[in-house]
Amino acid sequence: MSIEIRLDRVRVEPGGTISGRVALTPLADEARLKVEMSVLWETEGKGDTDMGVVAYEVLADDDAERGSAEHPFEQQLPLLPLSYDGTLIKVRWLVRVRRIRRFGNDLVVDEEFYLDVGA
Amino acid sequence: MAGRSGPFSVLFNLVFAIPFVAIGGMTLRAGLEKVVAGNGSGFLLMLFGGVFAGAGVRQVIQTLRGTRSAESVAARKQGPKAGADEMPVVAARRPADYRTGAGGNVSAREAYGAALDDAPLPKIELRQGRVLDHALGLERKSLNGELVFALLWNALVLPVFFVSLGHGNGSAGFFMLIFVAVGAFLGFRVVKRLLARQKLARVEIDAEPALLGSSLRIHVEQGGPARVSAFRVNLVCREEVKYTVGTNTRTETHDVIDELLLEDAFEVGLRDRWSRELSAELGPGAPPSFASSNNTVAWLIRVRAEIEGWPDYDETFAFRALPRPPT
Repeated sequence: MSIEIRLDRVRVEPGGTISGRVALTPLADEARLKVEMSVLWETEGKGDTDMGVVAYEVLADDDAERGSAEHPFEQQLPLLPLSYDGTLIKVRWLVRVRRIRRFGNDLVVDEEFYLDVGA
Repeated sequence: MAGRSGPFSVLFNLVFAIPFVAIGGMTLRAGLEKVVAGNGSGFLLMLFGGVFAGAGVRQVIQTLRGTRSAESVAARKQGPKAGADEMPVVAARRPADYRTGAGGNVSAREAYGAALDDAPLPKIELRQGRVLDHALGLERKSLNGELVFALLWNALVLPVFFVSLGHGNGSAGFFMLIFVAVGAFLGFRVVKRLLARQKLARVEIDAEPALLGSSLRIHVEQGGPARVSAFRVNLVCREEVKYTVGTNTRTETHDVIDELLLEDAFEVGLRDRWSRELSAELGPGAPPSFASSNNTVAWLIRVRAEIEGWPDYDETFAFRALPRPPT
């Protein structure tokens, strides 16, 4: 499956809205499997990863019809946390699409955006 | 990036759990039969079987949970806030105040409102201030853990030490001296810190959360009697992370900002108070406060005092600093 995430804006102010489209294109003879989309913040760096999910949605599952599909989304974001790039800690905001595979690693596509004042 | 348990890992964990569930279940059943037959020892078997079976069942549940994505698990934990058809509720209302031009005088507390409760921020202790609005609590308050550990250690070691001496067993007593020494060190350290806290400074600030890009007024106060040969106050912004190496959890810190605000020496009489009012500039681009399970960006007022004839102290008082919300 090919997954593409297109964001309308990359920089969003706190309390603003992130919007865009997710395009799913299954490959030929590919089994139907679950595809999830989430809007989340995630820490990165020396510490163990923490995550906060702002929105979660199942875009496709076993019952979904085959064929390419475009899923527009729009999600209001919280005031905090802001995107942060520090020495030991980074806080990243992502739109993540995960295609669940029964055997093998999931296909995960992330598109980062920045939540900051003055966006 | 968070992943899920792979299929072979799932299979292995389930196969590992099955004997626990089976043996635990059989033992539990055997114990129950004994109890029904009037044999009290069956209770022990039931307990043993229950623990084993419970461990196996827990392993199965955790393994099956691992087949869900981290995002779906997190969304489920956060409840309806992250539901598919609902707008996220981690954001709070957008108060009209800063939209209508009164934003310049709006505090962070008013601007952020209920979002402060839901946001990943450090939990801090605040009390009503006497001079400024907020009196800060210690970043790491409790010495209870250290105290209990020191007491338990000495309670176990000292009787054994004295008994071995009483029996004239010199070599055992000599060996026990190592443990006695450790106990003495632990006890000395906790008593020293408890004493030091009896003369701890009081720190108050005018705004909590403070706003980045603004000045923070700080009031520090030292009670007497005390002859303070060195007194230092620093503004600190500290990143702190926890990470797991094997079964160990390690902590690492990095001070992004460490600014000396005051350095002084003075004497305070009995029932007197020495105080200073300070001002610190919080840069608009400085890191905002943040706290999650393993990662923290903390804003602190660090106060260090060397007091003659009394244990020194080096303590930090926590507050939160947030960016001015958009207008």
